[in-house]
Amino acid sequence: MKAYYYTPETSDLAISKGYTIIRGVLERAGISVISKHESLEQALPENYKQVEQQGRSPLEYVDAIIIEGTDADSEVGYLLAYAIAQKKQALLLLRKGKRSRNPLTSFGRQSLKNLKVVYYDDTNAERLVITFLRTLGDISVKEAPTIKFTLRITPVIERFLHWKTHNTQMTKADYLRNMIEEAIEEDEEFQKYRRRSTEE
Amino acid sequence: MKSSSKKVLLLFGGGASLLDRSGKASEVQNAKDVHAWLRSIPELSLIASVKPMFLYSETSFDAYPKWWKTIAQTITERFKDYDGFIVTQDVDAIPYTAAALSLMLRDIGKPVIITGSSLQSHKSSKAGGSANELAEIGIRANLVNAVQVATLDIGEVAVLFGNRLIRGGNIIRHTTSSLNIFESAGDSVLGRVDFGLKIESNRKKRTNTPPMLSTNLKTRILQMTMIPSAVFPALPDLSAQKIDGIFITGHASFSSEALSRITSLAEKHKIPVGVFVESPIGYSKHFLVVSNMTPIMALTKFMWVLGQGASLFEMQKLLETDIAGELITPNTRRR
Repeated sequence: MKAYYYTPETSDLAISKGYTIIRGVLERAGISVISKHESLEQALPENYKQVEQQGRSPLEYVDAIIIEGTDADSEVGYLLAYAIAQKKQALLLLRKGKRSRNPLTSFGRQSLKNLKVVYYDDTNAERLVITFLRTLGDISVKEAPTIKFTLRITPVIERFLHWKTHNTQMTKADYLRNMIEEAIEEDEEFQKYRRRSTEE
Repeated sequence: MKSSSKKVLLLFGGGASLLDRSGKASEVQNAKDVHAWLRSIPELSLIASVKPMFLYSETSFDAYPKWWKTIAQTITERFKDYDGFIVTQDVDAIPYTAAALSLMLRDIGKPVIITGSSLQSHKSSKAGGSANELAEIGIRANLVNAVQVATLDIGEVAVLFGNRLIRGGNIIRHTTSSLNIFESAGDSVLGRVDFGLKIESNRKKRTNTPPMLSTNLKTRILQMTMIPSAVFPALPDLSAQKIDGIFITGHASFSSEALSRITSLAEKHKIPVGVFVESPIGYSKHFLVVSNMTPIMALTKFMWVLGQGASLFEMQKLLETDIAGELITPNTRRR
């Protein structure tokens, strides 16, 4: 899956940090990330000749456009307009607390079916990007564990974890996280709840 | 968003057919259609504040010069009020309009972007097929790209179609199933639609200089094509026809008998003769040599030069002067 990831020039460190977090999520999800710094030939080795010959926009050949548009420049408006015109899936991320205006407030729902606008900070950026990526298809991505949690366990559980993980690359914490993630995936009620809260 | 303060004037002169979301053809046929049409492309407002102005929807070939003047005058009158201008045109009209506006709006410091739809006008309500799908991709993308270009650092007349921005006076049309139905005759691709819109360093930069408006054209031109060893039919009665000029194309040999016959007859009626050759092969005191430009620009510039009311010598000088980057030098000529 290919995504064009656009970030305007900024001198704001918090916004720059957001750029890095978002790019990290995309890469961990196995997305082939194209940025403004790449040439057409580098970005689309299989399609660039077609782009030239048929007069098409290279954006037609990506699955999604992802924009961190807090410090918006004219390119942000252009990319959003392109996404609407060509019904391209797009995600506009705006950093919380930066007084950035959602440029799509006056648009009807119909125009925005393919366009998602979210406000993010360091704690939820990953979840928001992953949620969007999941709407594009079968994306397998794990959020980086960032929340510290102390858990007291019994000696039996400890012996069990040791038995399951020794001579493997996995840590005891990895094993527990995987078990919980499997439980999440299998829990239909929780999935419904999660979908509802995302739509809101 | 910073871009929202940019103001763009969108002039409708045909070529504004598009398919709406349900697949129905929608076009601007009169002034009443403009706002509904623009509402169907709300995304343009994300790039600039676009003010529409209806001029005409369809016109005959004969009426082109009248509309070129109107377009040029409209842009000049509103030059200070807008950051850029877009003119929609039928595909057939684009090369002529681009050539004419390049000359009429000499040294304009803001972008004048000509674009359009390759969708046929008066299309049946439900269009289909790959050609129309391609065209539909084209018009919306052309408009989005044109509005973006109209806000950028460029100061000249240019054509945007497919993924190329080409200097207005240098375009030639070619038969293709591609969206790039125009190409550059010289080294005058001014920009490309990449992941964003990239403008090249060879474009003229934006200034606040209004154009030197010069809309006079002599349009009653008798065009003749010269073929080696061809016998010319009798010339029409030049004075009765009120011919402004004779424009000769084809493989003109300057020493041919047919050319001498035409020029002496034209001289008797004080009618200038222009001979179009791709590269100059010499000059003559009997006729004007029009060279180093596309055939459409050559004819348009001949009409424009005749309209400047100059002497034959001054007209020849004007033909050799690069007014709007229309001259193609041997180094830049596309092979």
